[in-house]
Amino acid sequence: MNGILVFGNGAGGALDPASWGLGNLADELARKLGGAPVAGALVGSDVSAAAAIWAAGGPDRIMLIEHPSLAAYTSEAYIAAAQAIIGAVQPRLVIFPHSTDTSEWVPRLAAGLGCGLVTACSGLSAENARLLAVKPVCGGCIEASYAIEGELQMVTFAGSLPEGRRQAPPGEVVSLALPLFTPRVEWLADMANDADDGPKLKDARIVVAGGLGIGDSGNWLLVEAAASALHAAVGASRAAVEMGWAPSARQVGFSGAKIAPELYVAIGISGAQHHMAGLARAKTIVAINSDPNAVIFRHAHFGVVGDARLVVPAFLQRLTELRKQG
Amino acid sequence: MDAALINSGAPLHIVVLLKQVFDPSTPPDRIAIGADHRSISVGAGLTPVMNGYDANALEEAIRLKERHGASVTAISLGEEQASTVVRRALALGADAGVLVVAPAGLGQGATFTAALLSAALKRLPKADLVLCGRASSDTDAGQVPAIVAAALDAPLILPVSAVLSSAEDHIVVERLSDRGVQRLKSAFPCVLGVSNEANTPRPPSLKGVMTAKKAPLTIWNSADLSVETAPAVTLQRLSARENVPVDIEIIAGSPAEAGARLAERLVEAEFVR
Ligand SMILES: Cc1cc2nc3c(=O)[nH]c(=O)nc-3n(C[C@H](O)[C@H](O)[C@H](O)COP(=O)(O)OP(=O)(O)OC[C@H]3O[C@@H](n4cnc5c(N)ncnc54)[C@H](O)[C@@H]3O)c2cc1C
Repeated sequence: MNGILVFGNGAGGALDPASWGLGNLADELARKLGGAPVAGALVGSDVSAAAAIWAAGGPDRIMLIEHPSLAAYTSEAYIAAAQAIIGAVQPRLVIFPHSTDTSEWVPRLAAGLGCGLVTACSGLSAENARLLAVKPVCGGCIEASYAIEGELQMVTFAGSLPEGRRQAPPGEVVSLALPLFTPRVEWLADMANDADDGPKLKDARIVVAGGLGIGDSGNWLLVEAAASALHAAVGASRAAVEMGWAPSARQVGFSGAKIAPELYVAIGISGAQHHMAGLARAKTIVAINSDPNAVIFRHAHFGVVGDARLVVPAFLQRLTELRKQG
Repeated sequence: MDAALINSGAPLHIVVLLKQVFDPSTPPDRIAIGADHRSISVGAGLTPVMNGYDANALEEAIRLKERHGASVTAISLGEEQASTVVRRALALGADAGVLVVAPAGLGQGATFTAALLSAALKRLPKADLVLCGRASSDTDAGQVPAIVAAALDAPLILPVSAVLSSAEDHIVVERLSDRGVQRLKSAFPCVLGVSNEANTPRPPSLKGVMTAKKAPLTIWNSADLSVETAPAVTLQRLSARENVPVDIEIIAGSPAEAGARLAERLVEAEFVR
């Protein structure tokens, strides 16, 4: 068998919508590889409902490992589960979504199996049955293309995903047992990001982000106020996260979230390439910065040169007025 | 065994893996892709630096040494000039330094690099804890820590955002996760990929720099370490990413006027309702 195995995500009766796109990506590649079969995989404590949803419009076969001990993510359990699934499916290529968790367990899994892996790739193609993976390197200003060798190949994928659902008879769900393993890392606690009820950074239509130019944690409230006025998700530069103004889950960029909003409002952000690497798919960028030479103005569609502490309150006030009139 | 490498009987032996990289703040227009399309060169006058996350790993090692009297060995793999980062580690308080002389360019696969580093690790007194950066700023691959962990049959935790405590046989850390932060306890040996959230690396003292200049380094090359690996991934080509020039509309006026006008423009452009 020389198929493609693709890992989705799900929990509590819901399928992470990115799973559809990952399945489509696998389908496209399978066609280029001469019709290789595609299987999906789901791992967790409560994923059977998600598996049924995915099977209804996704891969022909969904491999499932459900076990209470998978409720909190731990790399050793995920590695054990993935190994069992890979052993059963015998794929040629395994595609994982790129995330903080997969950046831990997938390289360790690949290393244990001695197979080739490209992390955080933004594109995949097949050239004479050889797989090529493309990813940004050097802070995002260079693209590297890698050939993956060997019989078992892996990628974590961070690029844009083809949309849509397949019109086909529902696939089958195959349940496997979680193999026994001896954990060496003990899970003590999970602390969820502060009860975040605002829109999620990943799929927000509008993102308002702040950087070091915001100045202090008191002024950071301006970023939050602007975000809430625009029904936007809050984002941050790494420098702002390092100051403790925003949790690291809010970081946009090379080592943070790579996002695709319709509108991105950057306040007090210089526009370093590591930051812009998270914005390759943003449609319209607004920059508010006191330095007319800031690099961010080279990427922005609308620019205001001025002190954010004066610009943002005036912006918010005018927005309220316009809404009253409208 | 090299005298400088003998474990002084300290309870914990920490090995830090350090990579020298081109300065990540180098403006993109000063990074040129080589004629082979598999290497880069940065403009003259730009000195390479210690990978930022590795500096965080080193800082964590020094803190553990201060708290628990651990002994710290720093290893870097690279060309001769990578000895600079090993000396920097010595200046900051590492007890021993090893340079593995081997190419470390973008075309070098993680498999070979990690195999050499693992071979070097196996020649040293047994490491309880291997500290690395979560990824290197040039390739952003994050695979060397995992391959080293596999070679040592040790677990890997990454990205580590805080080291909370450690004892003779275990360490308690915080790790960033998809949902927030998790607290984990690992038995030794283990490999940690440290992230920038963990600490702010200290600068070396002048005295440290002076002593480190004269300190002996252990130098091994790939022949000494005799590893054989087949590359799992091969770099085919590097290409510059084109920056599509953007037409910007600068909104003029005093900060307050421009702020108000921006609200109007965003409503007109129907971003905001
Ligand atoms: C390996 C690596 C990975 C990285 N990953 C990321 C990442 O994922 N995301 C990320 O963001 N960064 C990342 N960085 C860091 C990145 O290189 C920059 O250092 C960072 O983005 C700078 O953040 P900033 O724009 O907030 O701060 P600065 O560069 O300091 O910019 C602050 C800006 O605010 C402006 N300003 C100052 N005062 C005011 C005011 N009163 N009103 C308006 N504007 C004002 C200034 O003119 C300046 O342009 C990474 C770096 C490395 C090495």
